[in-house]
Formats: sequence, structure tokens, C-alpha cells
Amino acid sequence: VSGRGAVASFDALGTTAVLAVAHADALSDAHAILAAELDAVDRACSRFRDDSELVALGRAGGRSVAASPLLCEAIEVGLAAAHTTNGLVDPALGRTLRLAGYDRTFVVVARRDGRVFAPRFVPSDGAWREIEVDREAGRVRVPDGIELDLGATAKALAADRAARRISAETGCGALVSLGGDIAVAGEAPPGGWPVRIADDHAAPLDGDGPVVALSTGGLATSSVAARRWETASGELHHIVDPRTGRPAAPVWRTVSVAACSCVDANVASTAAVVLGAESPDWLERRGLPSRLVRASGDVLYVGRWPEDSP
Amino acid sequence: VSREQGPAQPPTRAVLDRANGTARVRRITGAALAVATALAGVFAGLAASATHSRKSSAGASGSVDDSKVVLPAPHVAAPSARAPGSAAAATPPPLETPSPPASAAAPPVVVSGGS
Repeated sequence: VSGRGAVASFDALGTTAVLAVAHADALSDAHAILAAELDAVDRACSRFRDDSELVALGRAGGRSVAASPLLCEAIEVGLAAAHTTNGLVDPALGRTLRLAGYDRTFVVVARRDGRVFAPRFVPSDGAWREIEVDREAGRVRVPDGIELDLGATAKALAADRAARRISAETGCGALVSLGGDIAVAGEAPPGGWPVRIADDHAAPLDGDGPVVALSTGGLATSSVAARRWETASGELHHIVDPRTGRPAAPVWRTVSVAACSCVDANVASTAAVVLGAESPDWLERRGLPSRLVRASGDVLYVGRWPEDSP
Repeated sequence: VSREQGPAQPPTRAVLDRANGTARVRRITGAALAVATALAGVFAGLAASATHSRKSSAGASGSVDDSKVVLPAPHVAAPSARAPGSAAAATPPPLETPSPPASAAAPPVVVSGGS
């Protein structure tokens, strides 16, 4: 960051966390806050930790169980995403992903020889509508047979929460990126936080792709080029169409969306990939500046997203 | 003149047909009555149970058979009536207008991409 800022990155939630602060002397406190938020989200929402609340909820056999405020919030965010997108972004895709082969942390899934695994493609059939959350009572009920996957929205929620907390507690502008989904809070550096847009969040900072400046809210990118694994039915990716249970058709290779929060941006970019050809109109109606890259590499802009420099 | 009485004469074909026809009519009439009685009972039962369930689901306590009252699955929010996933399905929710990103000249601090 120009002048007095600082940046740190580390592995978290099965991806890369990047923390940037507008003043370097806030970095240590900001890092502690972010680490605490990530640990809390992982304990509440991980699909792959035996001691997570989410796993315990899955073992409850359809009974109502006590849940932490964070898990209640994360499930509510997932359900709101499903409602907002009419089910295109679905928190009840856990079983669908598991049967498609994404049944361990992605590091394990990516390393094993998946060519002997025969995936099954199971639509979710709107099962999210049957999930009940009572945040005041601190209770959640997930009907037997439904498996939650809060992956994407929980990461985005963690980014939003952490950025807000860092800004509030340190008085410093902050950017938090979790797997390339970004939240900013507080006063941004002059000109905004510079962010490169790419197919993969692990791309080098000096790689290809336009650089845009973000001053408020959130920015998220979803891509069918990332998080792919082999199966006996061919290579799959993680952005699943809940209507079919299959990975979304690659109409768009990568979609980036700016919104008022990282959660909103993440939900919109995921929905846009799933929706396919109708996405530009869908994003336009919601007033969300977006950049969509076709499978061919052609780029389409929605709203006031700046065009790539030649 | 003695008349020697011979063996009894078998009934004629017409007599047999009449007897068979009468028996068939009796069987059909009996069956129809049984079916009508059963249907009347079924419809009466259905009408009674329909009225009873509505009252129970409206919250009456101590009803005769609460265990049979099937409540609708709770919905988090009312969805659109159109097909799930249809682009035109959901009315866009009221969103705050986000600030669009701007072109940047500074070197990037982070990459936004798929993960």
C-alpha cells in the first residue's frame, strides 16, 4: 500500500487470507482480529472439521439443536442468499458436493486420483426452504438428509466481519481478502485499494488482468477455472447449479462483481456463473457493477465497471 | 284307462333363462346397494376430517387427534412463484447502490479471482 500501509497473507479456511491496512502500525492488531474471526468461523461453519458446530448439526438427525450466534448468522446469510437469488446460491448443497466428489478439504480432493471416482449429480430441490433458524433462541433445525455447505457465503461473511472489526477497533482502513473475495472498511488509501482481477486468486500480483481500485463495500470473483477436480466423469468444478446438481455450464469463465458488502458481491458473482447467459440482465437490474469473462476470453461489462486498459 | 305316469319333464329353455335373469338382477342390485352404502360412509368421513384438521391447524388445543394435523413446512421467506432459477423469477431486492470500482494506477495489493 502506498506510503504507510502494510500487507500480510497467510493460509486460512482452505484458501489464502490477505490483510491490508492503511497504516502499518495497525497490522499486528488487525492480524490478531482477523485470525480470531477466521478461527471462530472455521469452528462454527467448517464442513470438514469433526469438532465444528456444522458437523454436529449434521449429526442431529433433524432435531433442533443449540447453535452459536455466529453459526445462526452464517446460516441466515446462506438462506438470505438463496432467497435473494431464488435458489441459485444454495446453502443446502453439502450432499450434492459430497456426491460429486468434494467430500474432503480441497487439498485432499485435488491431490487424490479422482479418475476412479464415479460422481453422482443430485439437485438440491429447494431443500434450503426447510431449514429453520431462531437466532434469538440460539437454535437451528436442519431436516434429516439435508447437508449444509456454507463455504462461499461464510468466507465472505468472515471477510465483512473482520474488516469492520479491524476498522472499528484500530481506527484504520482495512482490506480483508479470503480466497479473492474482498471486504474493505474504514478510510481507504488515496485512490482506493488496488485489486488485480484474475481467473484465480492465487495468480501473481504482477500477472495478467486489469487493476481496479475499491474504496467501499466488497468485491468478489467466481470462476469455473479454479477449484477443479478429476472424476471418472471428467473434470468438475465447485460452482454447482442447484437445479441440476452439476457444475454450472461454462458460459462465463470468470465473473467479478462489486457490491456494498463482500457477501452481496460473492452471492451475485456465484449466481451469475450459475445463471449463464441471463446474467448480464440479472446483474444490471440489481445495479451491480460487474465484469464477465466468456469462456472465449471476451469481456463484458455491466454498470459502471471500468473497462480494461488496452 | 289307466295312464301310466311317465318321468317328470325337464324345464323348458325359456324357464331356465327367466330364472337365471332374475338371479342376476338380484346380485347386481345387492352389489350396487353395498357400494352406495360404502361410498356414503367414505364421503361422510372425508368431510368430517377435513373440517376437523383446519380447526386444529388454526391452533385449537386439545383437539381429538392433533397428531394427524400436518402443518406446512416453514419457509424462511416467500419465494417467487416462478420456476427456481429463472432469471426473471425473483424481484430484485432493494439494494444499496454500491460504489463502482475505478481504474487504478497503483500496483495491486491483492488478487481477486476464483478460489
